[in-house]
Amino acid sequence: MKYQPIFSIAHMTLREGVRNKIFYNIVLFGLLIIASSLVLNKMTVGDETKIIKDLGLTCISLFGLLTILVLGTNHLYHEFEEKIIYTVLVKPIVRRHYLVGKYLGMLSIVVIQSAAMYVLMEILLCALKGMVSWMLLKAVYSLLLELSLLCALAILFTTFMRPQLSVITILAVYLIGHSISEVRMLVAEEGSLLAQGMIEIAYYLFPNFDHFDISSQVVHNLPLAPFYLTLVTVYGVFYTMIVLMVSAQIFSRKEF
Amino acid sequence: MAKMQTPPSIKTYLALMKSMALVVVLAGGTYLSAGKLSLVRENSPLPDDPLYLPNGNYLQLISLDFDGVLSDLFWIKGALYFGSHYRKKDHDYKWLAHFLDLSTEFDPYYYDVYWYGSSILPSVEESIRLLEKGRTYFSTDWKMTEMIGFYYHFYLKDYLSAGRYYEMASLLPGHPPYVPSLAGRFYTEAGDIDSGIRVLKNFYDTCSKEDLKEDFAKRITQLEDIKCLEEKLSVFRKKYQRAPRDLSELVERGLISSLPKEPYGGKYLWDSSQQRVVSTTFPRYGST
Amino acid sequence: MSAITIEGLSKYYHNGYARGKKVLDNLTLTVYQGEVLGLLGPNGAGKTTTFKLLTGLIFPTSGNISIFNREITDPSVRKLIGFLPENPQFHRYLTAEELLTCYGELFSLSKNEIKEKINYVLKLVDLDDARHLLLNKFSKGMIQRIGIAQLLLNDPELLILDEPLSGLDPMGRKVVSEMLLTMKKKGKTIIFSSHILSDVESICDRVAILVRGTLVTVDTVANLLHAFSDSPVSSLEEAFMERVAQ
Repeated sequence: MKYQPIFSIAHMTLREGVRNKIFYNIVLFGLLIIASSLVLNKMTVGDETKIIKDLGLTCISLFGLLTILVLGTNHLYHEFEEKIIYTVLVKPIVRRHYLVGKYLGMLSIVVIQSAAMYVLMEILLCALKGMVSWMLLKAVYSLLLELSLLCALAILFTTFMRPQLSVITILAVYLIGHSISEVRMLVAEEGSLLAQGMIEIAYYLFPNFDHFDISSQVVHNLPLAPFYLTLVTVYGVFYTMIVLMVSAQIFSRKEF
Repeated sequence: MAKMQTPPSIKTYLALMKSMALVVVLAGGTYLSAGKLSLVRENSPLPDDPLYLPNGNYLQLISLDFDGVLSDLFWIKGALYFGSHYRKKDHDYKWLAHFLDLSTEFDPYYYDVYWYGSSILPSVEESIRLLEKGRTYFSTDWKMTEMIGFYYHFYLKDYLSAGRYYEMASLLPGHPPYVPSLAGRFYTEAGDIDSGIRVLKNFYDTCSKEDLKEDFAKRITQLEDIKCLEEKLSVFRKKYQRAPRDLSELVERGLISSLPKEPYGGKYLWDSSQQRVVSTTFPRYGST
Repeated sequence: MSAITIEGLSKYYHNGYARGKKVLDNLTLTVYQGEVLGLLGPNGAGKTTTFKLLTGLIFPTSGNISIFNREITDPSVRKLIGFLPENPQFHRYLTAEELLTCYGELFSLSKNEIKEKINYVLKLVDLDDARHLLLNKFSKGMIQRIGIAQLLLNDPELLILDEPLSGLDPMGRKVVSEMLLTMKKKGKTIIFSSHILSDVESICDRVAILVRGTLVTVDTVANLLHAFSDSPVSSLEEAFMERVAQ
């Protein structure tokens, strides 16, 4: 099969990732926090499941980001710097395919981590309320789209930056991505035309992570707009592909 | 055989075209979906997310080292919450007090939250509650205490409480002279002339500025006169079972040798609508 | 038929606005099929750079390289190459078997072929018992051996090795040189660099000497030893020193 190398590399990356102690610590910690929501439950009034959902989704998002930062920047950079990649690239594999394989491997790690947290959430919710929430699954799916985009960005930055810088850059993009909607609204009210123009450009250029955040609807059991998930999927997947294409270009010309 | 520099073949151009087309499709799709998503989000009303965390000691447990940041966070959330509802003009501020409460839970010494927060809260009771909370931490800040008095007087027309708070403020360092003066006024307005006199006398005793002392002396005299006149009035009522026509009747009946001279040059009058003695200089609170 | 053809190969590294650092200058070299070429030179001569250019890890500033008369990026060519870098590093959280399986998959070998070849190379380098051991537990000698294992996995026609004998104990060196001789007997083409000239002398057919990015000499071992008829040189070492000193 022509694309077999991609899956080989992905498989290899996945194997390595899940054996890494740091990964275990991250997942364990995340699961602990979600489990602790049972305790926090006692301190709230009203809907007991809200805190499980809120905390769980936050954990998936934050710990997903953490894993991407650690495994994405450090691990990948490590491969480049420590010549691990030398013996791999010499094999009959197109550089692009190697990069995509690495991406899929990393993404699988994040998916597994998120899935573990999601399963724990559902178990806790079932124990309390005795039912499974499909809306929650949609929220997790949406978060996974966000994480897959962040993963691609991590790879993009690692192809040409040192890990420290790429960590800071990803965090910056993450923060910008979460606040750009609000900034756009504020500037629409009070900004000069120049500011508005610049914000419009930034709005479409930077990833807008708010689109992936449907936790409010999920937690309050509100309906989603029709085709919302489709739109979000298109946005997430297309943007990710663009980022990967750019990364592949840079990686093809990278000298080791 | 040496490797030749192969000229870009048709195959290369096609590959290039394909990737360009792909990029255009991807970029276009991203742009369009982003636009549509923004529209969708703007149109669907999302509930505000106040974070159900209760007030109280539990919060300190979770806040770790980040008290300051969390305090800022909730203050900002509160301000943004206020702003967005203000823009929408829907007068729905039900979670605002909660945000400000949380912010001050994490940092009880965050003055701005008490000060500005109280001014944007929708109900006077909430504002007063917030300021009272602040007072316990800023016990020497006359402004905060005075502000509570202001709320009582201006919105709630509760002059007795207003007087009390203004008196408390007048005991705090740094207050301007109008504070005890207003304390006296509110007390008087509330019918508690004794307290009014007490406050003013207190300030008079501790005041070092001569011109202010003069002013206060006048005001004290005025209040004492009014007090005296009202005492005489109750004696009159007891005796004659009715209110006098005017204050001069007191003189006629010998209850008082003469009407006291109003220190500001006005006259003392009996205001039957208010059932109290007033002076033409400050006939009714609020009409100065 | 030549295995490797290098023509006018140059490599410059640019440091911002400063004039580029010339690492390789106009190298022209041919390695014939079936021969063993030793690449010698002092540190910093450009040996590793040459190997990196040969394997496509870096790109030339000018010049041409071809392997078996095809471009180095051609996958069919890559299937015929084996590369062992200097001080190799491998993915730490994989076992020996997993690493080789992955590499085997990259060669588009069938599952059975991969199993066979892994068994063969692991036995060859005497790491069969360690096949389920994680690579981060491997000693330096074991890492070198797994390096050889992955080098030979696809039974390559062309072997490229950068300092394969460095940092090994005498036992290790013996193993490696024996392996190289075995491959030579099988008719494989080998190019490798080394500092240990006695080993080079015994294994190589020809020797190329690089000094500061420039090819100084390419000749058979025999010729080099007899280069100076009036003062016969007793070992390659002396010949090397003389050439380099020039």
